[in-house]
Amino acid sequence: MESRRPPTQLRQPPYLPENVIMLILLWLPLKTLMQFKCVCRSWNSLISSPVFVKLKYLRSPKGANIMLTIEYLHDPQHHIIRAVPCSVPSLLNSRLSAASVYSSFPIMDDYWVVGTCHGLVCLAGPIWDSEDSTDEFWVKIWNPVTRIASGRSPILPCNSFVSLELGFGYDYKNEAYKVVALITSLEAEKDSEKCQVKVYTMGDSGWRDKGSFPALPIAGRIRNKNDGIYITGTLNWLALRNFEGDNAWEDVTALDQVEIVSLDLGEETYKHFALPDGLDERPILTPVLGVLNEYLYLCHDYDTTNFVLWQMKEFGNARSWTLLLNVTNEHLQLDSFFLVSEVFPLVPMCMSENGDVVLILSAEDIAVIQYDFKDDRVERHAIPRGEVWIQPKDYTESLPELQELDGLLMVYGGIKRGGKDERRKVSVARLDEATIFSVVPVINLPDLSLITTPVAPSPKSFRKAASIFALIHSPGGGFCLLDHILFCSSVPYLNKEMGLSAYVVKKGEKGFYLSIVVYSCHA
Amino acid sequence: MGSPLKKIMLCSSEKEIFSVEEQVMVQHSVIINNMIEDGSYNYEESKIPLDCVDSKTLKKVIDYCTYHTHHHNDNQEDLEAWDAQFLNVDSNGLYDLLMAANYLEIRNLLDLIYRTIKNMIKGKKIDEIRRILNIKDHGFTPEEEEQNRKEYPHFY
Repeated sequence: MESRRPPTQLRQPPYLPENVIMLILLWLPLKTLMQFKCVCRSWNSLISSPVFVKLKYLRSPKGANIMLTIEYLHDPQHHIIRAVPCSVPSLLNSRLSAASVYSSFPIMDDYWVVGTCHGLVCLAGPIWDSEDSTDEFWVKIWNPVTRIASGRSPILPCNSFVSLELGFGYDYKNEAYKVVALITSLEAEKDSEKCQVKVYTMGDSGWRDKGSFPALPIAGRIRNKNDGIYITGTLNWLALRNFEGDNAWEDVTALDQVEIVSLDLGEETYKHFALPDGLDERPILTPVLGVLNEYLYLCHDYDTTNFVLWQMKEFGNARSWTLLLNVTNEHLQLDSFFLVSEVFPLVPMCMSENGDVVLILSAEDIAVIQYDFKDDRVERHAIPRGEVWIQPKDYTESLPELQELDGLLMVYGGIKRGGKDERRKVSVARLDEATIFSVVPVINLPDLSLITTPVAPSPKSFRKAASIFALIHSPGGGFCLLDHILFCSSVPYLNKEMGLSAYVVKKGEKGFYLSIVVYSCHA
Repeated sequence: MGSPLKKIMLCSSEKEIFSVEEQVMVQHSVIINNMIEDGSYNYEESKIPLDCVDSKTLKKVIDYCTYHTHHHNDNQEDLEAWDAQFLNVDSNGLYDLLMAANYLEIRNLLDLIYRTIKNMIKGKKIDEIRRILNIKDHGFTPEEEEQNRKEYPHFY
């Protein structure tokens, strides 16, 4: 019997199927991928495709980058502010000047970084009137990797406000990015209406009223905003239970009035969490809430002599507050004279992956303090001259195109071969960082009969399908919009232990087909 | 699961027959595991036809599965050294192995090959990648290609 192939030496390397290319490209860093978009048109569209973007996001190491706001003082005429993505490993290696990764966001207006979510950064700024005052604001969304920024949002009116707290995050239920504004004003008829909530869903034509906030958010400072901290589909603010007084920290007398109010962006419902039990004396300066390595943290001073850092080990459970650090300013080699400053509070900047080392930013001291938990060692690094670093934010790079801000659905259930009944009950759950390995069904899709023929290299592999997860990209939710031609062909696995199988629905001539893409998730 | 002594027959694209310990293939190949499990393989008569895998590649694949079955308790370094030696083949050989592993669903071999190819293209200029992966038609219009080259000269 003759070989069907020509002799090896004459053969060119064969064409690689798209799913194979995808699985190879998923191993590469985003910076390389941006470059590889120029290799050929099919790579370009693959790297930009929502499925690829999401798989890559899920594989991206979390806590590998932060978003810093840097003010450059060298030109007093043009006070420049930039949002700069920084790589945590390079910061931890104390290469502070090499912090900038790929792009920064310069604009001449005053603006600040509200927060980051899925690689997108939300910026906000005021619209000044002729008397240099403002009661109107805008937000815009920026992706530092693709260097694309959206236009300004519709104007957010904040008539006679005393403080404005924003928040930016992703609503898994409606698959939309949302910006939430808490506008506190003194002119409310009732105390409980002092703080009004407005929501801007990306792409909408305006801000929607969402009634009163169930607490009074603590007023943020110019360089220390109390903007909502995004964590797994919720935004979290420090707030006061009672509405009677002012919302500035100085006016807080009883610590038991302070709590964390958490807004679920999907349900738009509120939850209230207590502060750590061990926090029994009112900090002199406004405490700061944030995210370090995917955990909510709270940091504050103790009598302005100590720096205290708490971590909420299990989000939403106030009993899981754990004291990470309580250290004197002396030990941190800080001049305590500077530290009674609301302008530049001490904040944790980033933490090593294993949690052994934390970098603490002291903008007032123009220094980054490296604290080593293992041996209680402290090292001080100077911030580059002429720069003021403020507001470090948790940030994970990603590639979403701004027009593709949709969600992931995880579908699980089985397609079994044989039998007349091809309809199977399949449950769908939203996929987010928290639920990759523990999926809760939220929707049932009764009509799977659309899916006619499973197509795979061997239909037999579908016998195993019941036990593995499937992932379907759905811009509008549901199967009706699944006519995107995605990937087809066979069943490669990246990693035996962590590999998740993903079935992608493809519309063919005779109906819908299932094919399989597989990726590994590094937990 | 079959007994470790049982043998199964694999048939390459050149119709050459390879007799392999069943356990070796069942452990590594999802496809063969499924065939054995659902009873569609007949030990007396069946030969699993692998029309897209030539003899040379099939022999390598069997070597890989055999080695990893019998040495899975070895330390990681030794295994990695063996893997590196195993994949020390020309690019045609690598693509053949990739296709075979893809077809047979041998996950750890695929994993190994993906990482190898990733290392081949990482840090390379675009013209080099096109050559390595034999991408003749990049699909961009001449204007787009020129624009890209102008905009990002250091990529090429």
